[in-house]
Amino acid sequence: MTKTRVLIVDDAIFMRNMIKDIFNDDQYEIVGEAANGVEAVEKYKELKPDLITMDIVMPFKSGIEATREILSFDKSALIVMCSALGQESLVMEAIEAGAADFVVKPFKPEDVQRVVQKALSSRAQPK
Amino acid sequence: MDVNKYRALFIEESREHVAEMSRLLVELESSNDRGPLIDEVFRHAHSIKSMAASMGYDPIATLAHRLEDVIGLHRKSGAAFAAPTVDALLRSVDALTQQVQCIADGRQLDGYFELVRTLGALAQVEPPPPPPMPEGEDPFAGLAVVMVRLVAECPAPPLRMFLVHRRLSELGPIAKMAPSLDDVKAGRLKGRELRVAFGSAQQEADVRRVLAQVPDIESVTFEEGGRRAVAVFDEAKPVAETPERLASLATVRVRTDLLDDIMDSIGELFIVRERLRMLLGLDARSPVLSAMDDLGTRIHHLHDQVIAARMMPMRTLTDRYPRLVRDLCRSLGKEVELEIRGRDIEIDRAILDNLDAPFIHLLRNAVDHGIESTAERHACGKSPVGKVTISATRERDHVLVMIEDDGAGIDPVQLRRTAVERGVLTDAQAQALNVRETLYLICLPGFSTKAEVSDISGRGVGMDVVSARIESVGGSLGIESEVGKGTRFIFRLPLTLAIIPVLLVRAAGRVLALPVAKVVTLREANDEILTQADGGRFLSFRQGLHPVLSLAELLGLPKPPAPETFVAVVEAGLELFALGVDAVVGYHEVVLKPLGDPLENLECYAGVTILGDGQPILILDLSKIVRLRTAA
Repeated sequence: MTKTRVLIVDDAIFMRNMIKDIFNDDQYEIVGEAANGVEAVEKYKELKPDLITMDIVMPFKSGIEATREILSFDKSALIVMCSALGQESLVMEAIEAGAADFVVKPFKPEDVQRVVQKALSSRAQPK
Repeated sequence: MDVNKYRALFIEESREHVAEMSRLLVELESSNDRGPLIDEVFRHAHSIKSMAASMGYDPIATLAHRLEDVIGLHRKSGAAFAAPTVDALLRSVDALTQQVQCIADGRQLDGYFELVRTLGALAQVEPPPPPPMPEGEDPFAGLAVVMVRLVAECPAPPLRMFLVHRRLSELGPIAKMAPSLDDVKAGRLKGRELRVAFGSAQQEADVRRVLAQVPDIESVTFEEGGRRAVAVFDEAKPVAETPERLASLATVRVRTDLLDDIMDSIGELFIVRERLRMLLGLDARSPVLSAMDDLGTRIHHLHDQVIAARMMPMRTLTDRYPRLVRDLCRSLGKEVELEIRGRDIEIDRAILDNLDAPFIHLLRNAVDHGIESTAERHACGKSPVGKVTISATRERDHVLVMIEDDGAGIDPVQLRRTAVERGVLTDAQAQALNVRETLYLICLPGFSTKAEVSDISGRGVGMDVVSARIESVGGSLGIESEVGKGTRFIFRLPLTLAIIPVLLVRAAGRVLALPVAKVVTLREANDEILTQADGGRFLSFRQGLHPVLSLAELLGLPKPPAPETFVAVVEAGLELFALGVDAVVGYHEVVLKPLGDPLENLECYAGVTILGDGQPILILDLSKIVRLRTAA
């Protein structure tokens, strides 16, 4: 079984570590990390992951802008937004920009797994 | 998931965020270019909120959220931050610090409800309006409706519904939706059911396929305006998982005590090499010797690499100072502008650790005693706002840090008077001191002209502790002042601790070490360079005539019968002194080890080292020794 290649984007090392732990699994391979929107776009181009977990509020470039940019050159990119409570409108903006799905902090590993599985299944199906 | 293993990281990162917020808020108060600063503060508050929420520390998350709200409001309006608002924000930052400390101590969290309310008022947070209750007719009459029910534990139902709407609208236009899209966007939901009517006919299979990709859906039911056909499908349960594979990072966090341990090991390596070298003898042709040299080079390199890892920028210390000065100003009713230059200059962390208390003491002194009140300054024709500058510059092999103020300066006349009054000096001795030497009087223990036991400055941290700290790291302190103009403290600091080159000299039969960094020159003491006068010998050096001081005598050792054969010109403070020694034994690179208790109470020694032959050698603290002579 090929592993799902994941890119983790969040400006807090703490959050990245937490998310990495959630993807501790035979199904996933964490291929990279980014700490801001600019790095996220660069790493995406470099690594072409199957999935990105994208924080929203980040320095230099927000998660929403990075999402827009990535989708502009790769419409099939699967981006799951990671947001905190109180940011509903930003997540909606991200969804309108084309994000596949979202998780809200505090998130349990099962939540993330579920969302990610669903998002990946949408890839497998013809659109 | 065990959140406890993240506790340490949470504490560390939160502390960093809090420190930055503190600094930024002070800057925001006086800055005109607020935009980027506000964004940064917002991000820090946001990070704390996210982490705290993930860890389940709700009181912290709530406080951080309120902070976000207040800052977010200003972000939108672009308005300046009024002082009371900044005060409230800074109090919140302090509260967050306390809360993080509670986490570290394992104590219960304080909710700081009063503060949360205050912030809420500042953020003009209104409770969301109650959702309108539509009565009566079914708006979906006659339409084919998809009813999506979300699971009870769905986090953020409005978002989930928004996503459902989006996915469904990818199939075709949506004619009607309840709750409406506006209600969903605003979070005005009544329960967890979403009804969607398409504008054009859709295949049930297509709708199911699309919705199968959306998590948190309990059921999808197809209705026809009034009638219900039930079709339910289950959520797939998530798969349990197994270990691991982490991608590598560009940086790692290393505990500083680990670096200290590595440093100690390198020091020991060095000593072992010295021992080997001594055991092997001095046959320069031996290939073993050249291998030993190689080893020495490698150890040096290793040492330099760990030093580089231990180097930290000055701003590790100075970033907290604007807040400190601001608070001091508020409580003392003074106006002081703090300028910090050279924030990025790097210095060994071990040295930096010893600078904080001295710097804070000097800053407090500057604001409390140095800078005059606004009225006094006005009377002197000075600008009403006092200026304190901390500047760090890098020289070839040391760092120069200056703390200066444009305040009242230190009055040497007053100092001499106080010294005599306190019995520290006799009148004659006091009069014999030049201005430079007089200023150094403030470094004598218990010496101050004002009652320094006020809450602001003092508390037993006097200038004597400041100068002791500086010298313990191999640095030196210079003091310059002019009455009415201001005062300047100059710190000359080595870049690193640990391995230093020393000159071994003999005085009164003992071998002692002089740090080479402080030795300006070494001369054979003969009649060509020395002149006799007044029963003593003088060395002419760099347009100055320096009395040759006997090192043995300075240390209280019995003076040798024959005159000393070598003179070392050394730097102590900002002055040059000529020291007479009996012999020069050699040049060595040694590992400086601090003297522990009780030996560290011996005033003249900066530390001790062990030579390759196991002999312990005391390393001299030249500034101390020379000041002994001044006070004698």
